[in-house]
Amino acid sequence: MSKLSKIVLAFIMVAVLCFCSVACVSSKDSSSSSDASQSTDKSASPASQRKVSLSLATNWGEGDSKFAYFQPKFEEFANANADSMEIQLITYSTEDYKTKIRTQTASGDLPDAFTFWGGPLMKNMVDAGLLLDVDEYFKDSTTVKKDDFDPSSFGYYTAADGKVYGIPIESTRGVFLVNTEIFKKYNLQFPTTYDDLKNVSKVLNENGIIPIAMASNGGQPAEFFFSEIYVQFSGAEEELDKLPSSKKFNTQNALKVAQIIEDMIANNMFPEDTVANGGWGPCLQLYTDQKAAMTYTYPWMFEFIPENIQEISEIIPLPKMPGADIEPSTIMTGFTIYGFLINKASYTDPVKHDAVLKLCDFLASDDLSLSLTNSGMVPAKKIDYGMSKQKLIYQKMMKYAEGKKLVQVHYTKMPTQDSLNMLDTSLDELFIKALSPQEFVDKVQATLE
Amino acid sequence: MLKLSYTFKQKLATAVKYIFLIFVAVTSIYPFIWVVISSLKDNNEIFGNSLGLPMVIRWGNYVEAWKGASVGKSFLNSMFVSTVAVLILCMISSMGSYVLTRFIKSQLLSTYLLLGLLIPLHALLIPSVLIFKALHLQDNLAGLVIIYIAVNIPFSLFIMNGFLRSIPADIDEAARIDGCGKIRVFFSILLPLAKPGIATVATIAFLNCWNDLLLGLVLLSTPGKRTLSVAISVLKGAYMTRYGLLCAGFVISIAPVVLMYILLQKHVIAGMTAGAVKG
Amino acid sequence: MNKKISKYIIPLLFIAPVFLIYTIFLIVPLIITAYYSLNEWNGVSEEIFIGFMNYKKLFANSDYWITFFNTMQLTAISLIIQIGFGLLIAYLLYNKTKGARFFRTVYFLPVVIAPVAIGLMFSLFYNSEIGFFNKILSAIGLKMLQTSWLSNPRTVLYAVMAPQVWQYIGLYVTIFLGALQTVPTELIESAQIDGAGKARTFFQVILSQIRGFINICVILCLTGSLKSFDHSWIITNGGPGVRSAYLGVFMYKMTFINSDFGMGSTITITIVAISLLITALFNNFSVTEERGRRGINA
Repeated sequence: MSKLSKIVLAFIMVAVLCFCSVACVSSKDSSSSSDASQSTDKSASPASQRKVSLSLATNWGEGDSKFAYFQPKFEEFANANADSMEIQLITYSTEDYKTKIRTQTASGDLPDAFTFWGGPLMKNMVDAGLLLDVDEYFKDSTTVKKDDFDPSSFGYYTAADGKVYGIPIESTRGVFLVNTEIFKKYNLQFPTTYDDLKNVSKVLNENGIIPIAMASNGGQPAEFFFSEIYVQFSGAEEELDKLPSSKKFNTQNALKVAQIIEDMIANNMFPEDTVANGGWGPCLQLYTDQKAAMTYTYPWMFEFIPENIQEISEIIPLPKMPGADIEPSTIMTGFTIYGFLINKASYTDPVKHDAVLKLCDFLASDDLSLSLTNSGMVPAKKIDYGMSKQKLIYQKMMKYAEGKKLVQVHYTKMPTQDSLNMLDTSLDELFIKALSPQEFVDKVQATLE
Repeated sequence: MLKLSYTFKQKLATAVKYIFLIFVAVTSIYPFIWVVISSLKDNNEIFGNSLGLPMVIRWGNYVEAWKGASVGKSFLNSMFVSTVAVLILCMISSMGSYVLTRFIKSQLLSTYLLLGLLIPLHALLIPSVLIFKALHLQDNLAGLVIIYIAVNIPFSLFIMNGFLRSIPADIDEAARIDGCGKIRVFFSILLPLAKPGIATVATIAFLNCWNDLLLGLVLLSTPGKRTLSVAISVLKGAYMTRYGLLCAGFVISIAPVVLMYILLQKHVIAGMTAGAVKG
Repeated sequence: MNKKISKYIIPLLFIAPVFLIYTIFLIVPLIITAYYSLNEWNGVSEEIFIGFMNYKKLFANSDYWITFFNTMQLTAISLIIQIGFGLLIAYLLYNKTKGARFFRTVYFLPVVIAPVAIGLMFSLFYNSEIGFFNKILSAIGLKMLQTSWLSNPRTVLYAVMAPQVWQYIGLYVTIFLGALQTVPTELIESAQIDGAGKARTFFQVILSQIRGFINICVILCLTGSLKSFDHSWIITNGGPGVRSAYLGVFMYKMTFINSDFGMGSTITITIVAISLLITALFNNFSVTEERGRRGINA
């Protein structure tokens, strides 16, 4: 054998050896921890004496603004309880996170507690009986009670059977922003009716400014804009509330909204390229670059609005649409956008029960919610947190929100993932004029039949 | 009509050739430059000033990406997994290719082994999790090594077959007559000649392993075991991604691959010239 | 008797590792996927056996055929551009080009970059208001070709295809360069002595020598295109509707967005079946062509 071949062969032998040793060591680690977490061995020593292994999953990874406010609190909790439990924290960013949780579920390894979305996204888990009815948790918990939360905040986690399967942590509000300087420059008043909006748009277009920065890529942010218009019509709010069980998306109101959007496109109120300008980032960018005079967005985007733009932005109600019966200045979309779910099997497992209960108490604690508000989060819990640390635009939003009736959106209320997804892609098509309003409503409804 | 001289035509052709090659080179290198420039911007500049140089240079993106993705650890994880997988892969696929091109020339077997090329990656995710769970190898870097080897087997067999087939069987014969056994023929004669093939396979396989996101995502859970590309993907954030930060992560991730490519290419070209001299 | 067994022992030992690892970790998942395709499963509850219902439902779904056709277009365009340019550029570099090593490294760079970065970059470039492409078009006087590349239903598919097709040309340049190195220089020399010009030498001598590699690259390109996902998903989510979606995107949506694992598995099986069919046809075609050629020469 040539010298080189001998060296290469040696290398490969070493590689195989390393590989085997890592395999043995790692599998010992993981099998011992998986044994502990899956054990329902009733002959084991009393739960309190044995260290329980828990798995917690969150969406708040290193690249997220919440990470800096969650991680220290979590470590504090883990250390304080180190003698009774060992917690493995798994975090990934949104799309990866969904994939991970789905594969874990499919292989039967759902985490003991995990942050997740409600509404259509938790439906399958609810139907399969994987999630704990949180009323049970509230009964057992000594530190967290249902009254600590705004009653409307449970809407997102209420399943079709009327029970609540998740605990809300983050709430949000939809805001329609206007650039006051642009309005001043062209001597325009803030629009309060649809006709106002048309006139304002005409002037803005003549001067090369996009009236409203709104677009649709994967249904974002259009889906929320759609809902914001929808709730102006009478009966709409009730329709949304009943949507999970009625499965009726193609209401008269939905058709009306689609027609309004069609008319808005005809009046050049949106940017020309709605796919490339779609998505939360590109859409907001048009507004912050002052290429657009108005936009509609949500608090999670506030960190991308520069200080100077925050100062000249004002929040106004969406103009009243033709045929609308509800005064837009009395309502505001406000709903729970995120929270956590509890693995029913883990909670009811006598070995793990106490540990899981403590973990849930931590996740639902005032202390944690308070810490998270520092990242610009609107808490679902009723807690006192100072506005002084918040961004200017956030403060404006909370001031505007005072006294407003909060309404849900399609995002939280669509019955199935399939239909939510179809709503998103069909909005893309509606915005590029590839679908008529009737076709749009029909296409989405077809997935609910 | 002017008859252009032969040398003029030649010079023109050469000039056109170089202009074309340089143009392609520029379009090839530009995205890389764009990623580097974007890594020094924040979202506002990436969307608002996508082509220009950053007005505010944010070196902080690199610091944050390094810390956030625990680059020290995840880099080592990726390095370990990728190199072990590639080494074992090269060895067993050249061995397997040797058999397929010299001994068991079954069309059926070849087709069977190439089926894997047709499988989309997403389809492997859940079955792999189930299989590794059954083998008690979940959340284990060794499991990742195995699946990386498996996923790259079809295409490396394919390429090695091509290279080994281009080496005439007479060389085998000559060696056998001289008294070499099958194993000796493989290690001493064929392997050295197939170096370009092995280098090609190694480069592409290493790249596949290094950049893989999905398999690393579903087969591992412990944050400390994350590979580099998974760790960088975590930088994406829940609602919105800070693309400057993400691009910084990409630059950190690409650098070793480019280095590895440059190193391996030197080897390939050395092998080529050696062959030519002997020929 | 002993000789016969011992003749096969070493080959069997040599092929065993690949065979085993491949079968357990690639073929078994494929079988599992085939099993799921015959079931209705949402990834959470128990699966329900429904036979070929998924397949019937799938073939009746017009979205499936749109994505199928999109994928076919991608495959055809990828073949022509990636193989064509890959071969052309490799040949140019092979032909005593100064700085070949530099060019080769640079051409490979795009292959290394994550699709997310390429996707983001092209999304920004395609933007009709602030994007690069429209600006260039007006700069070179082709203003009438300007459009909203991603919002125009007629261009969105091709706009999404472009970055993907372009990104991997460098891969084929690398493979073809390696292939060209296996051509014995004596063959080229003897052809040139016989008076063949550069073009003749290329087509008749070189191409036939690397025929095997061209086949390999064609099949790699084919199978890669049929599995495509990343670029489409990142730039447009396959939208609007399914206008820029491929079979791989459609499968991902079914499996991981709609949680219909049964249907997703069905789509996967159809992808494998289509790939198998096309590659088998291609192999058949190239084998008969090879035999035909040899027949003439023999």
